[in-house]
Amino acid sequence: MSSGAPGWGAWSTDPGVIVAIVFTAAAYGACYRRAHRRTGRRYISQLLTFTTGLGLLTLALLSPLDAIGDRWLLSAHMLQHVLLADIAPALLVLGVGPPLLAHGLSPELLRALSPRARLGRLLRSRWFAPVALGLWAATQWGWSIPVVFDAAAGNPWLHAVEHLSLLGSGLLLWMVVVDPLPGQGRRAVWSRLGYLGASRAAAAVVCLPLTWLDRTLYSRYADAPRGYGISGLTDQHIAGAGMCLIEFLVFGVAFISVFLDLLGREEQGTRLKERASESNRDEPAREPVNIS
Amino acid sequence: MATSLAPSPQIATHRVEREPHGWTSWVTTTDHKRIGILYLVTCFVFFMVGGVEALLMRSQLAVPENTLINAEHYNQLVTMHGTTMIFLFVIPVWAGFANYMVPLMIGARDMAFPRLNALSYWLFVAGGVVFYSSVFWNPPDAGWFSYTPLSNGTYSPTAGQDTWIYLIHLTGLASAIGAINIVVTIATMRAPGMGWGRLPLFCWGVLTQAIMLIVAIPVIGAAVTMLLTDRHFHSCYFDPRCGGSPLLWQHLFWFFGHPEVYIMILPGFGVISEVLPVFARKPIFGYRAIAASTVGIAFLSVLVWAHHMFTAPIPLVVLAFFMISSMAIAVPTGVKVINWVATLWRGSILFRTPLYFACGFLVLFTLGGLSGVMLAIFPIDWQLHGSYFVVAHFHFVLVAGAVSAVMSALYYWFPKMTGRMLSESLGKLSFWFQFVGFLVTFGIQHSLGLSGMPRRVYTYNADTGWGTDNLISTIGAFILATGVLLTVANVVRSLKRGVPAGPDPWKANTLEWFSTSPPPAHNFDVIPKVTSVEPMKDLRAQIAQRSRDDGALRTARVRAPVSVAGAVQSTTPGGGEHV
Repeated sequence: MSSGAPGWGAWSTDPGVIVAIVFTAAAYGACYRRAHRRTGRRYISQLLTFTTGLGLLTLALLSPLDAIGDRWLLSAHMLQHVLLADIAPALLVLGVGPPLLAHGLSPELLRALSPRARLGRLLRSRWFAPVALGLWAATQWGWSIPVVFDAAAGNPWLHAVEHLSLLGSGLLLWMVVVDPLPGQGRRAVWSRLGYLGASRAAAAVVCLPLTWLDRTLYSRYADAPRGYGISGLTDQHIAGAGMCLIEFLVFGVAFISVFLDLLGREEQGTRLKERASESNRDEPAREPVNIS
Repeated sequence: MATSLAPSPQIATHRVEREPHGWTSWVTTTDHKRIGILYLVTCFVFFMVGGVEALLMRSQLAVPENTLINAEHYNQLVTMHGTTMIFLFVIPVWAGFANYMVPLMIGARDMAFPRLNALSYWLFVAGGVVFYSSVFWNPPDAGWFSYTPLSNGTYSPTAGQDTWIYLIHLTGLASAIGAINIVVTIATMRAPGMGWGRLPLFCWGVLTQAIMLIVAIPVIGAAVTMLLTDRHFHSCYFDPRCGGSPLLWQHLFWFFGHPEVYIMILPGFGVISEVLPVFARKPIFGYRAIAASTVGIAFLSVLVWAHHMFTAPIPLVVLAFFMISSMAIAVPTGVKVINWVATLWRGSILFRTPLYFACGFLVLFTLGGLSGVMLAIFPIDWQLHGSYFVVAHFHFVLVAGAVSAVMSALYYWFPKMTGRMLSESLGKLSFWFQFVGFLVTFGIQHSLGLSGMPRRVYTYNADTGWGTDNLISTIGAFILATGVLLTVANVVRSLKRGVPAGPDPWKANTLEWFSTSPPPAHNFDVIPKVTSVEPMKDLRAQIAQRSRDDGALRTARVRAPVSVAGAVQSTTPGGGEHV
């Protein structure tokens, strides 16, 4: 590592980010406590998932990854984007998955999210999912355009907007995939998985060229000092291949989880139907139908 | 007990036609069972031809500097053998088993599109005929994956290479049509009560294979069309002199080619998942994990194609990506192997020939998987690429994997298809010949590869020291061939003189055993209601319960040879569907 390149100690102390993270943790804590008070249950897996998501968010925005990605390595910047737009939002939304929100939100918020309220209607509208997917794809593609990417990396305000839009669109996309809102009428499993698959296809538009191209696309990183002994082209290949690998693995894990869940639910549903039809059969027999 | 007579649709027959018979009835058939048998017979003919080609190659390599076959003919044999085994045996043989068994296993009366089914078979035959017609002039000699520029008009100017292209077109079309038929059949024609969570694991394998075919076939179809236009219309897809890239061919071919490996093996996994619980006399361990692993393998299989190209000029990082994704496939595969072993664990094992082949599969395929993980590590692949180690690896996966599973399926389902049992003693003898022959043939090839012997060479110098290993490998090949011939003899003998099987000779778990052996044209008089993953076990329990209730157990024992199927069809348990 050359002198000047950020090392393990290069953590950021950006007050805005720290306040946002602490506020989010506090809000989740309140929601969790309320749900626990109401049901007496502990939602350990959701707590762990949310905490990990928040941890990854902290890692993406405050760790040396941010400093390295700003100016030294495209691969670090891309990893930061994957964490912000995909992994952290996925874990955060999974952390508030059913039934936590239904039991943990205050009555006012529950009312606001109910299907009759404007926000609830908006979140359950049939346009919500395609718009969320479109936004996610647009942010992925838009911020990856070399001129825009380099400009954002060089301007702190634009950089903040970039990160906020990635996180926001990630949260919206995973809202569609996980569907954590309380109440009936959840989207069909296969449709949610379809949206996730489509998002991976959108990500492939960015990650595959980065993986395979034999020339650098981002001048900011191609011309950057080689602080970590990695050439500009190798750095770009790592960025693309890493992004592809993570995006595809996320889909693979989600696909298998949903598949297993689907098999279980289907079997459960079939058994319920069978039990219901058996109990109907046990009822006093009706008059036989004469079909002669 | 009051009997409720539910109204059921009646079929009015105005004219009874004689059931067609003779060879024309086979040519014009749209019955899934007959098409299945046509597939199986045709595939086994091609298997024999491909096997003879393999024996010729092994004979040539048995001793150094042999002059039995010249270089040109050796290259043609390599191409014909590989192409035959992949496109004319392993892939379509599963279409044969799927055609015969899937409708029976899911309680359907036929495939969703019977005529398309017949079309798919005849396209496959046409592909094989076109391909083998090339032996009358110049067979293709660019290898089964026809890398460019070797396969372009300059280096393969004869029409033999074109027959290879037409073979891919025709068999690809056949596979795609068959795959769509399978998907629609399984999605829409399952018996009442057979949710996705109760679909037999063989059907999961076949369904996943069909979806993979639909994804992969268009890619190879496009690639060979591009090759055809390069050869005859001077397009430049793969010619670097006018801006094309030979690497593009490799990417396109392997984007199809690696899923292809799983296309060949996933139905085999399904067979093993059916056979093991039947002969272990206990339920399959981890049904859902095995089904999920099947789709997991399918998903990962489209992300690993470049591990066949580790020695091509590809960035190091990309190699690392494909190394990781290739190694990841070991996870769902390992899940399956562990579940299969757990199924056998503490079972009341019934040692019959299908189980022998299934266990042979478990041992040999796992070994092949381990050498696959080795080859997935690209620095190791750099050392072993293009050597006999790779030949040994993929034969462990395809011969030990796919062919063992095919043999297991044949011994398991032959009684259902013909109504006669295969000879157990001949079957077990055949298994041991094949098992030992296989290990001798291909085990030693790992050593040859590690000693540096390249694949596709037609001869070698005596001073290389490869003579003894090659001789052992050739002897093994003949032992293996003897094993296969014993199975052929067994089939021929049993067709005439086999012990009558009855509908359910194995006391098996899935619905195909509910029908008579062989099943009638309409498959079932009554389609039973499925209540679990093992419907036959439930039906037997229902019959036993009903027999006890009626006090008719003694009568049932006297009529022991009469099957559960017959008894069940007469009593119609569980609200089944009548014709």
